[in-house]
Amino acid sequence: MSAAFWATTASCGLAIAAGWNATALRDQVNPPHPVAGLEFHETHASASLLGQFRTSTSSWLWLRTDLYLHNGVELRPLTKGERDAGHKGVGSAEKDLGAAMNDDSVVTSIPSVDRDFRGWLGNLERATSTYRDMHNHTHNNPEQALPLFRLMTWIDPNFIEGWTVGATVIARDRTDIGFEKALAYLNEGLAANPQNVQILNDIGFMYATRKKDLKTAVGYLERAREAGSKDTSHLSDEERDELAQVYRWLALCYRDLGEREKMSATIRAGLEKFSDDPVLKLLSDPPPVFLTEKGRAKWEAARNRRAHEETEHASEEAHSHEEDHH
Amino acid sequence: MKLRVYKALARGVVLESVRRKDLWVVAILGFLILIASGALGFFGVEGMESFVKDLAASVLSLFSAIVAVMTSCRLLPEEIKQRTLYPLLARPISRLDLLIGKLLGAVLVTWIAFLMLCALTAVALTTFHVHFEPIMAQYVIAKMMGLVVLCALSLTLSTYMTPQAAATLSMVLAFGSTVIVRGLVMAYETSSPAIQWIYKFIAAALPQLGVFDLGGRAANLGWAPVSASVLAQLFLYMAAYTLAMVAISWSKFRRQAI
Repeated sequence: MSAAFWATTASCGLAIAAGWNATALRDQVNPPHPVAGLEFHETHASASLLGQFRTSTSSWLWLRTDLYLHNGVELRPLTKGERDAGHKGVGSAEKDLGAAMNDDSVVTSIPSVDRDFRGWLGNLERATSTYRDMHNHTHNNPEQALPLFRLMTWIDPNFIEGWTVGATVIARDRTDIGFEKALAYLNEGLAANPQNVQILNDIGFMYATRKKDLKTAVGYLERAREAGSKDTSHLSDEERDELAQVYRWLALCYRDLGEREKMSATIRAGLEKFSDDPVLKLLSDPPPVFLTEKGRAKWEAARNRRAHEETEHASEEAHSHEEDHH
Repeated sequence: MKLRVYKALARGVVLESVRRKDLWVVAILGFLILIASGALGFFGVEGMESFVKDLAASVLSLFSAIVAVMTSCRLLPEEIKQRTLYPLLARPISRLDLLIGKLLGAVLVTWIAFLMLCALTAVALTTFHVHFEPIMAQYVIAKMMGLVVLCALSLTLSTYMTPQAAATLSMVLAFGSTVIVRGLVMAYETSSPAIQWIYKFIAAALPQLGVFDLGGRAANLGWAPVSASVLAQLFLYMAAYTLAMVAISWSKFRRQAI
């Protein structure tokens, strides 16, 4: 056997051995808690390349889901200049997708006739592309995009929005089967991201609102609170919003479970972190002293109802914000 | 008479491409399509018809653009470098004939490669039970017209710069001209009249290859085929832009010292 043969065999063997042990890098490439400041992918070229590929692919798939919901019509956010000039977004005729979409600040990427100076060529582009007037448009069934959520989370299991928005889409099926499927999907996301506040909060939210199983919901929400409170320096703005929601839901769950002391403790702890949170402030307000016992009960019921509505609204807004963010 | 010259020149380009095993590259790219579609099949494609078709259209656009640019950019510089241009020009053909013949050859090679890729993609789509619609035939026709424009652009750029620079610029224009034009349209309203005039000129001068891409309509559900008049307009735009490119390259090539 020649030296070249042995050199080739040895180098191939080395490459296979390196690939075999690639999973050992998992914790370094995807640490459970990203380190504040410089991240691993910013200091290690190989991790950066792998991470960039995965992130780019999952982001591309994420954008594709939006495209398919609009049947191929590409939308873009209004620029600051356009907003200042008084231009309005196309808006949507459907409100049930409000949790995952926000079409009030977007316009078609291909400009409409009245905003296109290209004349004949512009008309040609509109005729050959997926362009139509999208004012008060409707959407395709988002379930069509479900396999894409599956694909993007397979490629990048740390792509949290893929798990949370995917679960929201699955949960549009209001049956028990829909709930079970959404829950299974979120649990898969949780297995890949065991300390993620958003996923834990979403599971707690689903148990509280869909199953009315407050005890189980409290279990997940407490885990989310613990995960978020360990080290708040690594939390992004979205995760901080999620953590504020965790405190709100926890307080409401404890209230409905009749655990007043835990509710008060949660509100106090929440206000220490989020002193401006309107719902936590609302829940901490004592009833006016001049009210009778019956009046107090009525006042508390009205306050709690308002807090519940605002918390639920905030949860939906958070999903909408995730969509805008991307 | 001229037709025979063009035919001979184009045939030479195709044979050279076969000899250089360029089409093997296409076969490998096509093989990649089949492998990738197999990987996609692993997840199941139920409900993903739009995605699969969209992916196929994107891959076809990418690979065919690569073939078009790589084939067209090297034709003239290689003839000059290898000195094979002298025997060609010793024959009773003008430099313009040479340019046209070479362009036709580049277009032929690109079309062959594109149709090969289309056939392999069709096999992949068939395995996913994707329905074929008339708009897909229009997609192929429009794309072939777009590839003519891209070949003409690349050939023209190669007369003014090195093959590498021409290939890079062609790729930038192939994939970026649509984005640049959209940016110009967005910025137009808030610009001064003088700047608006410049924007209009740039938008008109850039090759708007996006208009030849019916991939979005073919991939998404419920989009009707385009009318015959739209296809006729595409043909006119292709003819006008290609003529302009040939004229520009000829103005340089006819005075070029070889």
